[in-house]
Parts: sequence; structure tokens; C-alpha cells
Amino acid sequence: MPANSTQMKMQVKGSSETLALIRRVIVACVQHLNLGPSLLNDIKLATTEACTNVIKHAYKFNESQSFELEIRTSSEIFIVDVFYQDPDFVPEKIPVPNLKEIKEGGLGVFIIRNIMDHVNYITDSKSGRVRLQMVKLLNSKDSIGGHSED
Amino acid sequence: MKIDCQIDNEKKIKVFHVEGELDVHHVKNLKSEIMDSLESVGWTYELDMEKVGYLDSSGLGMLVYIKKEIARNNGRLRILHLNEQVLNVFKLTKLDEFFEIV
Repeated sequence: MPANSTQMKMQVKGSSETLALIRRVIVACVQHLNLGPSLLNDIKLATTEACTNVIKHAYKFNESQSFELEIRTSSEIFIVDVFYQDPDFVPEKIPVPNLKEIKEGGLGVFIIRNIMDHVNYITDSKSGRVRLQMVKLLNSKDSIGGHSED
Repeated sequence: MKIDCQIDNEKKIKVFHVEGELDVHHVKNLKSEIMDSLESVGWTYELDMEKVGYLDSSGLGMLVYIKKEIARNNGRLRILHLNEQVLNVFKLTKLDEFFEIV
């Protein structure tokens, strides 16, 4: 691992109560990198959106289930993997929201895809296990945080 | 999450001072607080979000719902004092064009 690197793996209860804790863990993992507030918010936002989707859509707020979160970071890159169970999940079927139609939901994955540099779902249909990997390049010129699709 | 409400009956304005993080775990509190306070016609509701340090799509979804409900009662929703990071989430989803952000 390069200098300034951090690795962290945790098993998380499938409860929305844990989301604030996850954000605090992320802050702790990148604290030494002195990221700007927008970049830090992008990382917290994408990770929270991903975990919210697990809790809300995959586990339907069933707190007896849990998922795994793995964070690897260095001064150049932030990688977060979310591992969870969702046998019915088909990444290609995630709807793309029409932003001209104002709706109350369906923006989570849109936000993730717009603020992270790489987003990849890997599914195992036999076990029903899903791995969502999100990557943020920390030194990229575009990595200023919170950019929109203008 | 902490929510304080100030009411001006003469001007028909309710100001909600919100403090905390608006994720899926906390949106229900704010949603029920505002929905329980909805008046019949023509009130203005202001959400002072100066002390909201985090907001995601769950928070946005709740605000969309509230604005639609307020509009059904011929009311008005204004959102005040967003910090830069929270405002960026509105801009990313183009919802800065839907809400009255002051």
C-alpha cells in the first residue's frame, strides 16, 4: 500500500441508525488527507446513498440483516466497497431519473454516478451477493466535489 | 435532529430551525413535524437549514413531498441558509430550480 494509506473493513447492521456512524468512520479514515469540504461531502454522500439503498431497498428496513463495508484510501484514491445480499437485484434495471419530473425518490444511484469517478456493480446470481464498488480520484482536476451535469 | 418552530400568526409564517443531518433515519421527524403543523390556507413555511451539515436524496425526497403538500394548501415553502455542500446536492439534481432557496 502507498504512503498515507488506510484500510478499514466493518460489518454493519442493516439499520438506518448506522448511517451517521458510517459517515463518521469515513471522516476518520480520510482525516489525515486534508480533503476539502466538497470532496469529503461527495465521499460521505455516495457511501450513505449506497448504504441507504441496501437498508431501504434490499433489506426493506429488516434490521436483522447486515452488510459489509470496506474502505481503502491513500492520498490519490478513495475506494469503498459495499457487500450485501439482494438476489433480485439487476443493475441494468436501475431507472435513470428524468430530472424534469419532480419526484420524491429515485435519485440515490443518480447522485452516486455523478459524484464518483467509477461505479461498478458485480452480482452473483447463485449466492445473491452484490458488490458495489465506488472510486473517487482525489487528485483529479475534476475532483472538486459536488459537480453537476451542466 | 433538533427542530425548533417559531410562529408569526399575524404574518402567517412558520419558521423551522433545523439542526443535524438529513438522511433516511432523520427525515421522518422533520416530515411529521412540518406535516402536523400545516395550516389550511395561505401560510408561508420557512426552513432555516443553517445548522444542517448533511443532506442526501432521502432529505431531498422529503422536501419535495412537503413542498407539494404545502402547495396543495396554497402555501409557500422557502429554504434558508443552505451551506455550500448541501446546496450542491440541490444543484446536482436540478432541484435548486424547483425550490425557493434564499
